[in-house]
Amino acid sequence: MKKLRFANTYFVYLSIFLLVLVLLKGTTVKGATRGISLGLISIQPSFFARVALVFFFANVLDKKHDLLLETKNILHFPKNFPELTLLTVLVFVLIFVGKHLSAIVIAGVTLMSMLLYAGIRKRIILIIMGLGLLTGMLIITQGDSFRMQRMQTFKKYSLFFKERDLSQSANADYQVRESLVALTSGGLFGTGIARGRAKHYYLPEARTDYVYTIIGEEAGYLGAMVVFLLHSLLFFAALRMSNKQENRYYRFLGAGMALNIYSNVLVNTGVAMSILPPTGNTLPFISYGGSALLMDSVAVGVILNISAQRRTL
Amino acid sequence: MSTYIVGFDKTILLSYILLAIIGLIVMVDISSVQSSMTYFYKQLIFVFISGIAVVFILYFFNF
Repeated sequence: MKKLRFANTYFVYLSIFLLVLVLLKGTTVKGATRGISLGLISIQPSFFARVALVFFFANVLDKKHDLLLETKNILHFPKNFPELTLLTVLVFVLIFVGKHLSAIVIAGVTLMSMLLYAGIRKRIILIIMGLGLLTGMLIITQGDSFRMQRMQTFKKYSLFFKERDLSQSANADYQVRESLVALTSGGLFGTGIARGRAKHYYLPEARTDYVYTIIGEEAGYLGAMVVFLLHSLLFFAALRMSNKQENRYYRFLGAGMALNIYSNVLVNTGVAMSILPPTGNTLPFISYGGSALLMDSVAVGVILNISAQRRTL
Repeated sequence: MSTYIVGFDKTILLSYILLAIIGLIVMVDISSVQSSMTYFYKQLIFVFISGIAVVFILYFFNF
């Protein structure tokens, strides 16, 4: 049995190295530089970085747990946790430069939930959330125009906005519109397996970002619900198992890995149903893609490892 | 002195396996309307490698 805890910080250093490598040597697809091509496959370091940060946070929050509970002010947080703050910001900046904003959102939600789980004061979390939202708004309004366009599409099709003008559709709306059309046509029981329309090139990202739409169209609301409930079952079982751990590090690590998977599920399904603005991310264990599947499986492996009962002879 | 695993959370493993199988079914479905089944075969390989990774992490590491 190899003790991996010593390597937690090195995982983050490795992910920083890989993220820099992607920016220098990575392949750019649709304006975003997220992966390094290795012939037949392409690896996306941002998925690795998310898991590495969970390892790192679990380690630091366990070692400095007393300091975390004593932290009363947001200004004390970077002072009490300098390495954690610096490395997290660095990873986020590198992912942002590679234009993978959804990875930052998912990692941000995961890490904030971990801080909350570890017992940080709610006031500090609210301030961090506020700062995150402010940064997000700045990025959308002042950054690349495609993000603003996505927000407008979201405003147009989301049920949260009452005054919606659907009479004029633009090319930028295409994916969102087709996703909603497909989900609607699925109804309660679906069109039947292999009888869906969306996968016939109506939905270009059918096998990755919008795979939940394909399930909703062909297996209906019930089928989509089964998939969502399976993800929820995995999450709550992992959380329950983590809560039972006597070792605090295992508790944080298990919960962090479960949160990492489930926040990804919530973002993906939310985007498919236009509850969230359109963004590119995969549905864990279902979407096509090696890096995402491998790193989500690593998270499951870690959770199972923590849950394991051992006997010594 | 050696340590070995006598049990782990089966609910988590079962959910994971079911989701991976659903993923493969969806990939067959999507690939069936395309000129080749490349995406399905690649996903099959990814699932296989990921499965090995899960078993490897479960049995050979101590966090």
